[in-house]
Amino acid sequence: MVFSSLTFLYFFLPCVTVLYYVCKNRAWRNGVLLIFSLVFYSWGEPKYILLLLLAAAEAYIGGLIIDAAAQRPRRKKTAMAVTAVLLLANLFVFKYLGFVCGNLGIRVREIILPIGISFYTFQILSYVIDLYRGKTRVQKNYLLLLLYVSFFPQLIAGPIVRYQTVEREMASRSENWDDFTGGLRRFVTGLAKKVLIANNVAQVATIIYAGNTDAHGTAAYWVASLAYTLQIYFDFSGYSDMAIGMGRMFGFHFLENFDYPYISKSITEFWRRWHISLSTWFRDYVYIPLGGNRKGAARQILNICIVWALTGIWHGAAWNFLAWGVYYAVLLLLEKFVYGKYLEKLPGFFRWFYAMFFVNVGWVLFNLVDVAELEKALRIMFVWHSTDWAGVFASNTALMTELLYLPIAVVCCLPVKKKLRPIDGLPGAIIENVWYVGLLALCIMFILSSSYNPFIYFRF
Amino acid sequence: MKKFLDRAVAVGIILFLLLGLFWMYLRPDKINTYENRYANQAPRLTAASYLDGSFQDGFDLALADQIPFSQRGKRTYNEKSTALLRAELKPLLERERYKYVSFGTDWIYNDYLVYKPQTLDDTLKGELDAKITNINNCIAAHPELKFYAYYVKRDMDVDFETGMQTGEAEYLEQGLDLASGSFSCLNIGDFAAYSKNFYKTDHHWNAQGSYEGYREAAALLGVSENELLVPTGEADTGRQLSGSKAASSRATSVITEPFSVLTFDYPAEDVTINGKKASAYGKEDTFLADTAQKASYANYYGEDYGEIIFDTHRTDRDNILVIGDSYDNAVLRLLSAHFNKTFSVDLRNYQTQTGKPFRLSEYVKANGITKVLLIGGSSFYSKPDFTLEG
Repeated sequence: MVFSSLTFLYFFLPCVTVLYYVCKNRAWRNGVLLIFSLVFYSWGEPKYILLLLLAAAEAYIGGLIIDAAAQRPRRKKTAMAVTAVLLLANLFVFKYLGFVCGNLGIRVREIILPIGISFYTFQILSYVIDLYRGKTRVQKNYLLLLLYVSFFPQLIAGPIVRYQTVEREMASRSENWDDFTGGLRRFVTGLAKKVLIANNVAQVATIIYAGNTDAHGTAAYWVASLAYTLQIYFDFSGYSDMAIGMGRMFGFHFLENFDYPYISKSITEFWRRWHISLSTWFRDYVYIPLGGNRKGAARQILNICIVWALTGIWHGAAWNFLAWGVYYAVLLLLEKFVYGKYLEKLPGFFRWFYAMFFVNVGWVLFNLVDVAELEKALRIMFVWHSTDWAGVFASNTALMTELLYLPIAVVCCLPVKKKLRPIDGLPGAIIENVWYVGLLALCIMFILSSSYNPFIYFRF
Repeated sequence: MKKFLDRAVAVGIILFLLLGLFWMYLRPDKINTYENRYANQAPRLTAASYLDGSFQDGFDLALADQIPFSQRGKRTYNEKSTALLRAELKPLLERERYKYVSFGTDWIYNDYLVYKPQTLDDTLKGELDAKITNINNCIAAHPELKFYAYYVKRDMDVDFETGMQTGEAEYLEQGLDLASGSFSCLNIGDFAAYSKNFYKTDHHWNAQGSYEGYREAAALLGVSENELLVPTGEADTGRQLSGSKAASSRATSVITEPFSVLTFDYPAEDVTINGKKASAYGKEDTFLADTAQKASYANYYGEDYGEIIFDTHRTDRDNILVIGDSYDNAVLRLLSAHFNKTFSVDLRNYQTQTGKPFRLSEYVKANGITKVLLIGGSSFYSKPDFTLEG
């Protein structure tokens, strides 16, 4: 189930909210969240719910063993390592086995990727590793651990919520009206980012990349790359907004996952603002344990390369994702060791342009899984080909409307809201509420429009 | 007060959404009038339907049809987005008037919503061959019957930019074992001919096109020129048509055209639809006076019923069986004037609407039929929905 579906909006969200608040007891409320989370996951993947339950069970048993071996470091380490390997093996089989075997020329049956497996595996790993490090306490209630793993707001698209973040709130949290109304507004904002902006700018990239004509030249491909750059931000940050908002509605406070990444003035800054839960996860669970910057420059370079190669393939089992990770490793190393200090002296606009140029090109690497298509796109972007815009529009006029969303998206990815002065008192409240209700109505209208399916042979 | 308003709105949103769910179960619509089809209903939950995902799919589809304001929401979205697209397209359409310009799921050529021409490739040839074999088997099995075929050429049969023909009609003519002079087609060779005979917003032929089709089909069946019904006039119904192509391109009521009709003095006849006596087929007799009637091809000429029987009680004439698609709706009444009984069968709907399968041998024998006219467009001659049995 996805948040931007009628099923979620008209069935799941109101039902879970009403039942949650009808229950007065914490255990019952957690029970409601757990049951709905399992329904949420099984809605799209009835079979793979077993995999989720199994992964949570592995973490549960592993956690109990690690806790029991608190005074026996070797056993504790072994328990942690075995649990982590089992979890990663699970991820490897479902996500990477086909890719690896395919590249080795070994034929294997196609395995369907379970939704959210990368997110929930990393969440579970954070629990196991933090427990081993003594940063968190063992969870002796399997159902509560399962709730942490399967909690529907962040289950399929993050943010990667660490057990530490929600440990206390799982057992005792206090819901309040401010969180509920603020959370709902955040959810509506995220929904609008996804439905009104991401889905529409996505069409620009899709139409141009899918165009078979010679009409699409350099300008068109740059527009497509910009559209995808905006699409991925609004899609992903929209989902994070919805997750964070729904968490708040039920008394959970997840950490922010995006902080206006497209205002960054360097690649380093970009990664401090983009998918924060993933970059900090790799920092804390891979980069620092590998030695970080504490073991000399050569080792730091190696560590950065490892982390970014892993970051790349975490996003998908394909060569372009690996290339995308390595691309960022190179850029970050160059900033750190070569031109970072000179970059800081440039005017802000040039630094921003530099960062966005490379981020934009990076998303082309990320987007185009097919190597031939990627090579073609990069060639057209960097070797001038004229664009026959009339031909482009004539072959798919939907592009004309979708292009209108680009400037809206550009404005919305800037921190404009922060600069708006809120109107105090009742008039401000009325404007805000009308705004959010209107936004929700607009989202529903856009979602409904995708189900338009006229039957031309009936009763006309 | 601010906090109270915030809370009331938040609770109101949740309750409104919940109301949508209850609405689906308590007040379901049977018909989705905007999309011209039966409305999806809430599916029944079973373990099997949940595991195979059909319950989930059906649930989402049902919500899309049943939640409050769903049809209004879709209509508003379509009207606004299409109006915007039209405004954006205006300069392009003027510049590229004689080129295909994409529009929704269809194309615009010189202000007409059109389909792009098909290619007579192996797939289409395979479909046509199957249909040709099917028809030829029927012809061979019934030497006592005279078979005729009329093909309605339209936008899918000619490329308006190049003038190239798909060649489907010619392929059929070559393949069918019909007696000489028993095959004919509406000859659309260019855009001028197309625009004269077809609607701008609908896939059907217009009043002129269908009358031309009637004249040619009647000639095929041996009706002489002086026997043909002649229009008593051409009338602008004062209503705007926004047909099937507009609907599929989300342009219903955004792209419209005048709905003009030809009027005729039809001979008296009895009409039976799916076994029940009817006052008439279609609304040709009452449409002009009844201004509440909506402009649409099927509303005016008649719908795609499984079986329609016209009886002029002229027992000195032949009984004819007309098997076709919706193109025959506009010519059935005209053709029936030349026969004793005219039996019209739409193979897509015959069994579901009459409760029995259609078997040609039994049908022609039971009804004393001597002539069989096959009439339709590309789909009729290529899709398995129209396959004859026996």
